[in-house]
Amino acid sequence: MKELKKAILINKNDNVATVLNSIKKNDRVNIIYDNQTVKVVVALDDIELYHKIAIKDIQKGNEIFKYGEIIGKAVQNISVGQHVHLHNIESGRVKK
Amino acid sequence: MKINVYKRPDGKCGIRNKVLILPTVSCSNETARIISNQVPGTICITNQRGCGQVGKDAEQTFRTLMGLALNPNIYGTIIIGLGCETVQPRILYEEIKKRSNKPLEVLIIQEEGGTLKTIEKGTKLAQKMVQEMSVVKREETDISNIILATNCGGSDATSGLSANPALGYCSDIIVKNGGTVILGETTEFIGAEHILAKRAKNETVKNKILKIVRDLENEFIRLGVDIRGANPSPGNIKGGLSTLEEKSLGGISKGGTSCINEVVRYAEIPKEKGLIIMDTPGYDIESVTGMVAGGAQICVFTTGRGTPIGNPIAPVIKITGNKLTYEKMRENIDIDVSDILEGKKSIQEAGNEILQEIINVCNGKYTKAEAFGFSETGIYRIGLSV
Repeated sequence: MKELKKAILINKNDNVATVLNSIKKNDRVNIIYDNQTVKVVVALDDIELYHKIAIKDIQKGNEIFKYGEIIGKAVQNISVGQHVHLHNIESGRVKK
Repeated sequence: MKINVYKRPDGKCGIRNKVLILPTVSCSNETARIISNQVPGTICITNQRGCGQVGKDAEQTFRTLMGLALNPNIYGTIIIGLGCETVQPRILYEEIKKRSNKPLEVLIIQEEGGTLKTIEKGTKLAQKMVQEMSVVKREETDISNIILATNCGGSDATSGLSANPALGYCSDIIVKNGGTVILGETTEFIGAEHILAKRAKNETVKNKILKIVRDLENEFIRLGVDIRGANPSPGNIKGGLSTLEEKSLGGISKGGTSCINEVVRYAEIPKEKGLIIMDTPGYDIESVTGMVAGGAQICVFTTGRGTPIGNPIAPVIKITGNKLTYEKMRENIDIDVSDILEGKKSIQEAGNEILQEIINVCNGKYTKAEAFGFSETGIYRIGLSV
């Protein structure tokens, strides 16, 4: 049986979740909030263990929310299911 | 909540009983090390500083060395100086004496007539001090006498979701029981300082929190450096942390949710109890050293990627929420809290396990780093060598 893939959502307002399994493209990922599955997302990328998956579409320039707080902004449009990391978001702090 | 401690003549409570052989400068490190190697029961730090320093940087090194000698886990100290260094050994002696009546000696290599004579005299003094120390017995006291250092290092995305909030739960219990918890690593307040500022006891504390973060951020900008790549570090990034804000938001939870009573400089001993912020760097070794100089008798250290770090003066308990890391580095990590992410354990349950381990270690149980004899020390520099 195929392993149930999971990602943990920390705050209801977040637009990213942290994957709790190594994810392969096209995997179905259960988004867990408070021990309940609140959404199922199809992965658009391979995603390494504990990295982030977008659970909402995010427009370029918009903020990324984790812990209900801003962790950076999108430098390109991000679709639900995409891997969210250095290639598509950046910090808003301490830049040259 | 009770623990068994060594009561010091200055009124403080140690959870370890050690004689510190303290080199004032790199030039006296080897001499100090040879004395320490000769006398079990002593410990020694490697001092990479102590000379060619000016201004606040020189003061900070001095304050750190003084704080290490004043740490309650230290029974007494033998200062080993060279003689011509910035940190003048006799001034260090006098400043320690003003603050504590614990046993204290000072030897200066240039005055003793070389290293061999210093080693001979220092070894005799150390032997005598260790023998006197050996008759001190543990006595019961309240956990309110504890200063807990918190630190995270080699973080990954599990840290902010499991190990840090579990430690935070434990920090809150220690504060509620009258103890003190130090939260540091100012670099890792960047992006989360608004949350800390809201929990400040008053406007003064709030402004200090915002100021230490702003000053640090301005310093990076002044230097024209982009700290991305250094913080988050390559290991943080591999572990799923994308930005400094993300790392910071996960990091601050280790201090819990208490009101912040005071902001202290690096290696400064807090005047208040409860939750304290210390202005330390994100670099773990220097951060932990600063908190130990600030009087912390014990450190709880969370990690995602894994680290062997210990400290010669304060035992370091290491915790990870990353199961793979625990499996790979069992000999270096004391507590595995990965059950939190597996949904098998609550943050509160894991926090209580950490608290129980803190009590065990306070009462004498060795941490894994301690059992290996690890003694990483580093003094945070804020100036140029001259």
